[in-house]
Amino acid sequence: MAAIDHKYRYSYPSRIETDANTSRLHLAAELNGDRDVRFFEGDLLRPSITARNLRAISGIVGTRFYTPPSMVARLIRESDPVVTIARDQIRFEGFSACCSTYVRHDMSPYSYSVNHLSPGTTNVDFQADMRAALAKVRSDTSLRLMVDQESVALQNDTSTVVERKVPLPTRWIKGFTEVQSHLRGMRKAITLSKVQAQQFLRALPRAKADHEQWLIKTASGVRLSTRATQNGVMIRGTQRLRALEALAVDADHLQIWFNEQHRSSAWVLDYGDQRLLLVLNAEPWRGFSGDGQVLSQLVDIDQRVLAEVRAQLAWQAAIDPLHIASVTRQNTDTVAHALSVLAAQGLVGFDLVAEAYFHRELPFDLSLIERLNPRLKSARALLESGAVAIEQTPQGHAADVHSSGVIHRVTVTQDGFTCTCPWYAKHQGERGPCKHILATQMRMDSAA
Amino acid sequence: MTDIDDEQEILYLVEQGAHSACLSFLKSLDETERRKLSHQAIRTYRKKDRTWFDQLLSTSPADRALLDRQLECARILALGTAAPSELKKLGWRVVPDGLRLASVMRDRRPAWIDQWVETLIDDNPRMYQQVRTLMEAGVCQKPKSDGYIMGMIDGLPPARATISPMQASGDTLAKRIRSVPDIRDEDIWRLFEVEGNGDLSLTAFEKYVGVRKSCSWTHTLIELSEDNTIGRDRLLDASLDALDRDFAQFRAGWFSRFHDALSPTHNEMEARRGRYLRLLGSSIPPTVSFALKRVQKLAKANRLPADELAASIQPALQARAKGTVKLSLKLIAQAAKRSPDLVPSLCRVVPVALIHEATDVQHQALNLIETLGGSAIPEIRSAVSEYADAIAPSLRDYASKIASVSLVRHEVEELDMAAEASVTTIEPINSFDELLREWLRLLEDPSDPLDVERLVDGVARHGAARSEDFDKRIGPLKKRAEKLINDQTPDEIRFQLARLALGLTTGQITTESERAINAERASYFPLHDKEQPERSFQIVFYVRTHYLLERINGGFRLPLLSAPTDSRGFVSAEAIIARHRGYKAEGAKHDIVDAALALLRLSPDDRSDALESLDPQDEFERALAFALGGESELGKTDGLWIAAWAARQPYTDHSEIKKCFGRGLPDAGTVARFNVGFSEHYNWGFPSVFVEPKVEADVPMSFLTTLFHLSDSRSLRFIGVCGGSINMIRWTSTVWPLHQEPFFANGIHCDVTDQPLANNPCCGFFEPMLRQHVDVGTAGAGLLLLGLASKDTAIRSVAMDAAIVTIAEDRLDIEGLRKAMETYLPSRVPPPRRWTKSFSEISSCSRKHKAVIRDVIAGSLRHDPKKPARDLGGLVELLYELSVALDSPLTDELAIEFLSCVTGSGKLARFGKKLLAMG
Repeated sequence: MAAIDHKYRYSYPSRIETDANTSRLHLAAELNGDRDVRFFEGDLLRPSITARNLRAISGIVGTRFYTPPSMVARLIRESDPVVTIARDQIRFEGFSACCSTYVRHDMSPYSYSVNHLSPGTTNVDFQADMRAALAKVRSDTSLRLMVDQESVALQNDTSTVVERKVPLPTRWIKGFTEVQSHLRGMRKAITLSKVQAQQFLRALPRAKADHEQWLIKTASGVRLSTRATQNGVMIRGTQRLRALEALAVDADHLQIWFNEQHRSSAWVLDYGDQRLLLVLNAEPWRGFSGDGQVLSQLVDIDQRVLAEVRAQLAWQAAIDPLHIASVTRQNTDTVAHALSVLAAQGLVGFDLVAEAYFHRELPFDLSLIERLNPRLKSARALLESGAVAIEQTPQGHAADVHSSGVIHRVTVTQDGFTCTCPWYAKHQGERGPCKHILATQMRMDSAA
Repeated sequence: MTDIDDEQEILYLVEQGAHSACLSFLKSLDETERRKLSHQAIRTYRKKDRTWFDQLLSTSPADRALLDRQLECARILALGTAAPSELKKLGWRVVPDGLRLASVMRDRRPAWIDQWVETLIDDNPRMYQQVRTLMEAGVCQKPKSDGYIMGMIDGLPPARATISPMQASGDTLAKRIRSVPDIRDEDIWRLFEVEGNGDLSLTAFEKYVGVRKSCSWTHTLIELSEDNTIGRDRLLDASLDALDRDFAQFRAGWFSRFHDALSPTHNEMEARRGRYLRLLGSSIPPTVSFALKRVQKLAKANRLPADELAASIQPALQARAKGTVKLSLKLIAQAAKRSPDLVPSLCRVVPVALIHEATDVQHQALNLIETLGGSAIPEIRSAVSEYADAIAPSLRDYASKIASVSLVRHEVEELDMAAEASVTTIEPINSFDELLREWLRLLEDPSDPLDVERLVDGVARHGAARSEDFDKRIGPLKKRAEKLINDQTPDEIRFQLARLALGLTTGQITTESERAINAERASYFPLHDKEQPERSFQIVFYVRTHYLLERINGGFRLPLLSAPTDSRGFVSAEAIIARHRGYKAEGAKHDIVDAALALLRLSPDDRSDALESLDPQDEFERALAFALGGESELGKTDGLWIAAWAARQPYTDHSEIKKCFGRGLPDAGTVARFNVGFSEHYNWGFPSVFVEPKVEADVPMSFLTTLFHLSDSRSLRFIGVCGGSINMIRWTSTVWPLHQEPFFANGIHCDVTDQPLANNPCCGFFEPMLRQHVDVGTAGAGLLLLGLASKDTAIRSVAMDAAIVTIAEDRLDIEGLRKAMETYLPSRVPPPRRWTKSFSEISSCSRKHKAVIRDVIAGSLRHDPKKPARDLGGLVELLYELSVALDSPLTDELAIEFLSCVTGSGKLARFGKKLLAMG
C-alpha cells in the first residue's frame, strides 16, 4: 500500500468542556506553520443532530468495509476528518479506511450562529475520546463549536503538542479528488420520506451483502432487486449504509443519487439546515482512489486558464461558473473543464444538492496527487521510452503500445479510446483510462 | 581477525548452537564491527530459519533440539549486528528468548531501541513478554502503541506454559498485577481504551483462553478492587467509558459483562444514571440492551427522573430487537404513572416505536399512546399518521382512531415486475477485431452466457482468418490466456475460453482425451473420481470447442449450428437450416454435441413455416423436421433424436424415441417427473428432489437432456454436473431453454439454504426464472421455496425477485409451491421464520401477491397440529395480517382444521384463534 508519512500536529486533543450553562466542542485544527488560527466559533442550533452526524463521520472514517484477503485487518483509525469553513457553509468530510465510502456533513448557516469565522480547510483531531464525548450531547444541550489551533492549549496553559505520525495512504488523498467526478455525474433517482427511509434501512441485512442489487421505487417506498432497472440505483455492500439507520429518524427525507456511468451512489440525509452525504463506490472493495476518472483531465490542462479560474476561488459555498466565465472571459465549457481539473487537484469539491462546486483546499501536499498516481507515472514512462507508435486508420487513429512483452493496440474512435490490455478488458473504461490509453493521449496531445 | 575469519566465526558459532558463546562474541565487538558482520549474520539466520521450517516434521527429537539451539544462535547474532532497517525487514521472528534479547540489547544499547520496540509490539503483540523483559532490564521505555496492551491481555496472565521468567509456577494474574506497579497503576486502565482485534481482545481471551479464575481478567480485576488495590469506582467508570467508544459488538460485550459482574449498588448506579441513559443511543444493540436493564433497575428503585428518561429513551425505541423496544415502552408507562405531569413529554417519544416491524410492538405502542391520552395531542396524532405505511393491517383501524384520520395504506399495483419482455435479435460478431475485443472482455467477465455463445460463434466464423499481423494482434490475448491457465482460474468458462484462445493462437488442437481433461479438472475439484468417465456440461462445452478448433484448422469459416439468435437463448429454425446448408456446401461436418444443442435450442416460433420450407435430405435435416413437429423416419444417432424429441414435445412421452434410444433414462423419450422431498443421511437432513425414471444406465455425452439427471443419484461425483462456478451454471441454463425443470432440480441438490458465501454460484440456478418464457414447475417451485429461506442474502434476493415476477406473470406453479411448503415445513429445515420474512416482503408487492402467499401458507398447514413446526407462529401471524388486508376470511378447510386443533397460548394459538374468529 503506497503511503506517505503525514504528521498530524495539534496543540491540544479535541474535547468537549462543560460548565453549568453550556458545553464547548473544541475541535483542534492542525498546526501548519501559522500559529493560533481561529477558524470558527459559534453556537450549534441543533447540537444533537450535528453531534450524531459527526460521530457517524468519525465512525465511518475508522471503518474498513472491505479487507483484502492478504491483508492484516488493521484499521486506519488515525486518519482525521477534514473540515472546510466557508463563508456560509461548514463541511466535515472523510473516507472509510478502505476508501470505498465517502462521507460529508454539510452545515448551512441555519444550523449555527457565528461569533467568529475565518475561512479555511484543515484537519481536525477526531479520535476515540472525541467520539465518546460527542455521545454525551443531547437535544437540550447548549453547545458551542470552536475550530481553532491553540485556544484550549492557551486557556489551560499547556503547551504540549499532540503529534501523530500516520502512514496516510495516498488513496486517502486521491479519493478526495476522485469522488468529486463521481458526484458531478450523478442524477437524483429516488427520494424517500423519513418513515420510508427508516423502513428501508431497518430491512437491510445485518450480514455483509456484497452482491449486486438494485434499489427500485415502489408505490410505498423502495425495495431491493437483483435485476437492473432503468431508474434504479445499483448498490453492492449494503452494510455501508448501516451508519444511516440511527440518523434517519431525525431527517426530513433521504435522497438517493446515482451515477450511471460509474455505478456509484450518493445517499443524502436532509435535516433541513444540515445534510449528511454518504457516497458509495460501485463495489465495497473498490476505493475511489483507484478509479482514475480524473487522469485524463490531469493530462489535458491549459495552465493559463486554470490559473485564471483558480484566482477566482474565494471560499465560496457554491461557485457560479457563469460568473467566473464572465470575469475571466472564457466560455462556460472551458470554465467547467477548469473546475473539474481543480477538483482533480483537490482545490474544489462538489455539492450534489446545490449542483455546484465549492472551494476548499485539501490540507495535504497536493503535488502528490499527480506524482503518486501509478497509472500516470507508468504512462509517462511508456511515452519517454518511445513505446507508443501512432498511426492513422480509416476509422480514426490507432496506436501500438509496447508494454510488458506484448504490443497493445489502442484504438481511438468517436466513442472514445479502447485498448487490448486486461485492465481495459475488465473495466471497459469504467475505472478510467489504462496507462496505454493515457500514454496515447499524451502522445497525441504533444503531436497536436 | 579478517572479514573472512569473522564470517567463518559466525557460521561456526551458529553450528555449535551455544548461546553463551554467541553472546560473549558479540560483547567483544563495537558497533562498527557489528555492522560489518550483519550481512553474514542475517544470511545465516535466514538460511537457518528456512531449514528449521523445512525440517519441522522430519527430524528426530535430538536433531530438533540442536536445530532449535542453532536457530536461536542465528537470531542472537542477527539481532546483535543488524541495522534497524534490516531488523524491520526480518520481522518479529528474529527476536530470541527474553533474557537473551535483553542481554544482546543491554550490551548494544542502540539509540533506536524504543522505536524498534514500538514497531515490534505493534507488528506482533505476542512479543509482550520479550518487551517486558527489555523494559525491566532498563533497556527500553514502555511502548505507547495499542499492541502493547493487546499483548498484555494474552501475555500477562499465567494461562499457558510460557518462557517468561516473570511467571513463576502457581502464580496468578492478580499476584502479577499487584507486584508490578506500572502495570497496576497504568497499564490495566488502558485495557479499557484499547479495542483489540479479531485475535487479541478481552472478549476473545476470556472466551477461548482465560476461563480459569487464576487467569481471568474479570475475576482478577474484581479481586483487586475488593482488596482496594485498584479503585472500584474507577473500574465502573472505565467499563462504561469503553462502551462509549463504539467497539465492535463482539469486543464490546466483555465490558458490559464486566460491569454487570461488578454488581453495582443502587447508589453506584444512580451516580452513573446519565451514563446509562446515554448508552441507550449506542450503535451496539447488546450495549443498548445492557443499559436498558440498568435503567430498569434504577426505575424500580425509584431513582430515575421521568424527564431524563423522556429525553434519552428514543434511540432504544428504534432498536431492532423486539425485547428492547417492549421494555422501553414499559419503562415509559411506569414513568408516566409516577410523574403524571410529564405524561405529554413521555407520550411524544412513543410514536417512533411504530417503525418496529412486529405487530405486538406496534400494538403496545398504540396502547400506550392511547393510555397516555396521546390522541388528544395534535403533534402525536400527526406522528402516528406519519407511520401509517409501517403499521400492520390489523392495527390500522386502531391507529386511525388514535390519529383521528383514516390511515389508508397505498395499495401497490404498478410495480415494475415484468421480466425481460422484449425479445431482441443477437447479431453475430462481424470482424476479427470485434472478435478480439469481445474475447478479451469475456476472459475477464463471462457472466452473460449468450455473450459467451456469441463469442464461440465468432471464433467459428473468423478464427480461420489470418492477416499479416495476426501474431502481433493476437499477442495480448495469448498472454492473458496463458496467465489464466497458469493461474488455474476456478471459473470454468474463463478457463475454457482461455484454452480456446491458446488453441487458436498456437494453431495446435489439444489432443487430450476427455479422460485427460477430467483428470486435470479433478485436481481442482477433488470430489471428481479420476477413474470414472466424467459427465458434465463443462465437458460438453469442451468437446464442442475441440471440434470447432479442428474445423478452424481445416480452414473453415462456418458459424456454430447452436449459436442463439435471440435474447431468450433460442435459435431460429431458419438459422439452423441456413447454417446446416452452409456446412454441406463447404463439405464440412458439424459435431453431434453442437447439432444436439442446436435442436434443444430450437425456437418455438414459426415452426410450421420452417417445416414447410424444409426438404429433409440427410439425418440432421430429418431430425430437425421431427423437432419442428413433422413426421420423419428415425435415424441412428441417438443423441440427435433425443434432442429432436426434447425440442418437439418436452412434456409428453414418445414411445418410438423411448424404445429406440431411451435406455429407460429420464428425458430420453420419457418425460422426467419430479417429486420434491426430503432425504436423511447420518441424521443429516436436507431437501431433495427425486426424478422418475431413475438413471440406471450409463449416460452418453450426447444425451444432453439426461445429463441433468445424473445428480439425482446424490452422488458427489455428479453434484456439479451443471458446473461449480456461477458462469458455468449460467451457461448450462442455456442448454434447454424451453424446459428448465431439470436444470432447477440441480439447484435443489446444491443446498442453497445454509451456506452464506461471498459469491454464491447457486444464484445462477434462479436467474432463468426471471426470463419471461420460462415456466417454473414442480422442481422450480421447490428450488424457489428453498431460496426464499436461504441464509445467503444474494440467493434470497434473487429468489425474492423470481417469486415476485413469476407470481405477477402467472408463471409459477402455485400448487407446486404449496406442496413443497407442505413437505419442508414440518422438517424445520430450513427454519420457517426465514419464509415469514420473505413472504412478508413478497406480499407487500400487490394484492395478487398477498392472495398467493396467503394460499400457500394456508395450504401448507397439513401436518400434525400437536407437533407444530417451530416458529410457525410467525407464518400464521402473517396469514392473519394478509387475511385482514385482503378482507377475506380463511376458507381452506384443512388449514381451519389444523388451527382448530392447536392448543396453548403462544403466538400460533393466538393468531390461529384470531383467524378462526374472522369467520
